[in-house]
Amino acid sequence: MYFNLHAEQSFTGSFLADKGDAGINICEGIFGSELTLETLGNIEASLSDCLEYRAVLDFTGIRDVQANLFKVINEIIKLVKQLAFVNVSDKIIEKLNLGFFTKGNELVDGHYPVYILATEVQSFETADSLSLFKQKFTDLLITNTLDNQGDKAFRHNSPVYIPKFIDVKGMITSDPSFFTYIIYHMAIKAHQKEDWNVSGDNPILFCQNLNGSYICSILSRFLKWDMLSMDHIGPANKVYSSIGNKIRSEVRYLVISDVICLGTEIKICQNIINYSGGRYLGNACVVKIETLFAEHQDKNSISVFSITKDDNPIDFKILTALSAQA
Amino acid sequence: MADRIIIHLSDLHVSYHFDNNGVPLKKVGSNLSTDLGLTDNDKYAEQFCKMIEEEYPDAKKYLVITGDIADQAKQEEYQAAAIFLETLISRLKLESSDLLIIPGDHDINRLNLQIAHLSSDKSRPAYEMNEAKFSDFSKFYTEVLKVGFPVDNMVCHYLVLEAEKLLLVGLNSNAMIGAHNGLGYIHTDRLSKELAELENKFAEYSKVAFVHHNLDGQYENKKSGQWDPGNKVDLIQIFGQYKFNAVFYGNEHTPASNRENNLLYISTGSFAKNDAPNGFRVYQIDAQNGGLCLINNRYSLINDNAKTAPQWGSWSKVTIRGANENLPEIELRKPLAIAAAAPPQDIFGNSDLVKETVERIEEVIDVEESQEGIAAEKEAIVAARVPELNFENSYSDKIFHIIKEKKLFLSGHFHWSDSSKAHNWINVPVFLSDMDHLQLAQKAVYEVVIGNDLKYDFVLGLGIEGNILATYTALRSGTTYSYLPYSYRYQDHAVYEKNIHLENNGKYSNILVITDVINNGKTVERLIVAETDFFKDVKSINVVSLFYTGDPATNPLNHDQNTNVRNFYVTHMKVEKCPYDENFRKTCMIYREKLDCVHEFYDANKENN
Repeated sequence: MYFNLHAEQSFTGSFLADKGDAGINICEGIFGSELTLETLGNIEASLSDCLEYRAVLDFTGIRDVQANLFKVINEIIKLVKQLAFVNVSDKIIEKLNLGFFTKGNELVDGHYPVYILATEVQSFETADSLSLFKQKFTDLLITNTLDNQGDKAFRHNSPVYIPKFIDVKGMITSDPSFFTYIIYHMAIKAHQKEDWNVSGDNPILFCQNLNGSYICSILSRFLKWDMLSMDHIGPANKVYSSIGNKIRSEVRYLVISDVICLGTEIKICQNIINYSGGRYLGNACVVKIETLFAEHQDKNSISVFSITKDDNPIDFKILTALSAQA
Repeated sequence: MADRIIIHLSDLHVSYHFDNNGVPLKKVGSNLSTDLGLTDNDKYAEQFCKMIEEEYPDAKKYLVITGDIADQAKQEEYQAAAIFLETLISRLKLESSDLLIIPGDHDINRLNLQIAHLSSDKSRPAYEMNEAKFSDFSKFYTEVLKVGFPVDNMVCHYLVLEAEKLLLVGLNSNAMIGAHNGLGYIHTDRLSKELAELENKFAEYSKVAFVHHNLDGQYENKKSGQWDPGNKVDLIQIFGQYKFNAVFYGNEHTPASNRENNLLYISTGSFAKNDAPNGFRVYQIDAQNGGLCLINNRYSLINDNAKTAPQWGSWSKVTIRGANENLPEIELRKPLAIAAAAPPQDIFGNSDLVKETVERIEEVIDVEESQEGIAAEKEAIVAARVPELNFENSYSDKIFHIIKEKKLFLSGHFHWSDSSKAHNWINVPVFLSDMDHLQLAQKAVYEVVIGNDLKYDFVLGLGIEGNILATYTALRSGTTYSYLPYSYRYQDHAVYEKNIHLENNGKYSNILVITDVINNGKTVERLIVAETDFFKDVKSINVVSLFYTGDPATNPLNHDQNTNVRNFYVTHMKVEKCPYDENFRKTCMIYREKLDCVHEFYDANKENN
């Protein structure tokens, strides 16, 4: 069982840290790098009946820990077959009073790549966390891809046939916890874009449908960026909200989508933003269909998962009347 | 600029410049000491006063110091402190009656107390020997304030701000501090008696407490701060009993301002201790329309190591936002004007209309009924006008004020559909676009859910804004979640958006619907009709909205006892309905001639089709 502690902490710091008092607005989002008792307590609670499992706590992104976590870690050790930390600093080990497990654990430049919490030397194989994430994502994607065979592949507002439909709402409703982790990945990717992440000039997250609004309401908490919902571009291809001007002049807007296929909706958003005096910055989505070669792709675009010619687990196709299969 | 301010200093720690062997120290732990060669006390005072004079030139000033004036409570330290304070008093034009000073644990001379205890009959512990314990502090206190220090009292002193009906009460939290250090403690039985006497004189006043020890922990990882946890519980109950709104303190050298339950906690940093960032606060008194608010200005000593600035740096104002600082304004009393001029059901200037209606009703009643009957009827009318909300949530006013301040309550012709024509609209998308407002709104909805003890096993976000609001409740409670567009806009959404995605099959019997606005409850009725399969065996549907825009007088919520739908909301803002019937396109001159802003939405679309 793999736990990304920074992701867990980001969730705790965004959604659970605030105890509902109207006078307090605590939100650390992905900027919280101290592992708290509450986060570790949640992990402990989730590990009941896991005696047969090995657990990995990934400390990547965690720079400090609360001083009173020793007891909980000891409880977690008892709950699982074997417990290991990865990417943990010696300072954190020292602060957790766990120095007596150092035997057999190799310290590299102040960090333990793997720190097995056992008094005897043990072996412990850890899988690559990104591969685990990708595998789980792919499984969820396959389950929530629908067949649009025949006339269903045609939509009035589209000049192409799309025989597969990626049902992001299905992904959200069937596994909301994992989808929150997907949004966390999106937040980290957006934060890593240096041009986007400018203190004092952070972009506003822009969404235009229900899936986008779901993603934005969580992404906004993780990134601590404002958001704006524009109801409703999209399949109906109409802009209803013309009341006043929601777009702020000279402010940068990042369009958030569930799936980007041909980019038609993104283009509509871009036009609205720029026409209204704002600045279209780029886009971020959960799944992107890479219809262009790498050298032609938009550099101001990120996605959690890309469907490419070589990595197309759902056999996604875009067809026209000229295609052999249309 | 407020014309009255309260300056709050704490933890000066004026330090003696010899060690215990009598050897002169090369460095002391405070920017104020007994050796003017080590610290420039005069310049420190001068710089502070100059800044206050510049920032608040015409303000009447009060000064509160919450303890630890000295570091070891030595006479020499108090002499230096008295000189320092004299400068402040003279420069800031303070009278001794403008000062409130309370002792901290460092204002107890531990060595002298030990000696006094050794030569006593030892019938009581050192910490109960109040005369000896505060002997040095008392001398200083008398010298500065020209009155004796009441060593046995829990209430040291208080200031009365008559114009604002505000009482600043200084409390001695050193009851258990003796020859050793200890936690903050106030004998609550004695405190209760002393406050009862104050209450006789100042029952109508807003009250705030000043203590030395921190009641909350910011630097330390414990909620009780440096206070005896059991005593803290008793103390907070007494604060509640005597209606104290806020407690101000120092000790921890870590500034913070937060609210917990009904008490505001304001911690100020150390004014001069040089191993921590230095700070102080200025509270501008803002009293309008019977309301009372302290605008919380925090100042911090910023040291850029510039040779052109004093060695300790210069005072700068710090923006209060987030983290430990969450109270830019310390609200002690709500303004009366809002309640008097605009009751919740009539917030947008329809008071005359409402008044007329009530008068007309009264006239009719006058003719038809007896005096007793009138009273009963009036009560019934008032009851019928008050929308049902079992739980008074703490977010309502806050959200209302944001809508008002940001001008998000719009007027115009908002013709959503033939059956939904209004003359006002709350711009919820823009309200939710600010990350802080979004968080506030999400929490507000959750508080209504929790406060009303709503039971639910499924959460449904309705509409884009409802979806945005609902994610917090869904994720926080870990409940199964889905979302739908408004059913009257189904034609604008793709098939996949109109699908709940989860079948019920008896699995979910208590549904929580979260949306941004409810008016007459029809939207949810339409939803239930549109999703018959999902809702057919559902036992309860609780709807929580951010805004209720209906008219409780003519169409109260939850009046239908034959439905399993109950409505709850965070705040009420009535929108005016368009008075014209289905011929409004011809009969409404504003619409017909496009004289004012007219917003056409779904109807226009339908017509064009």
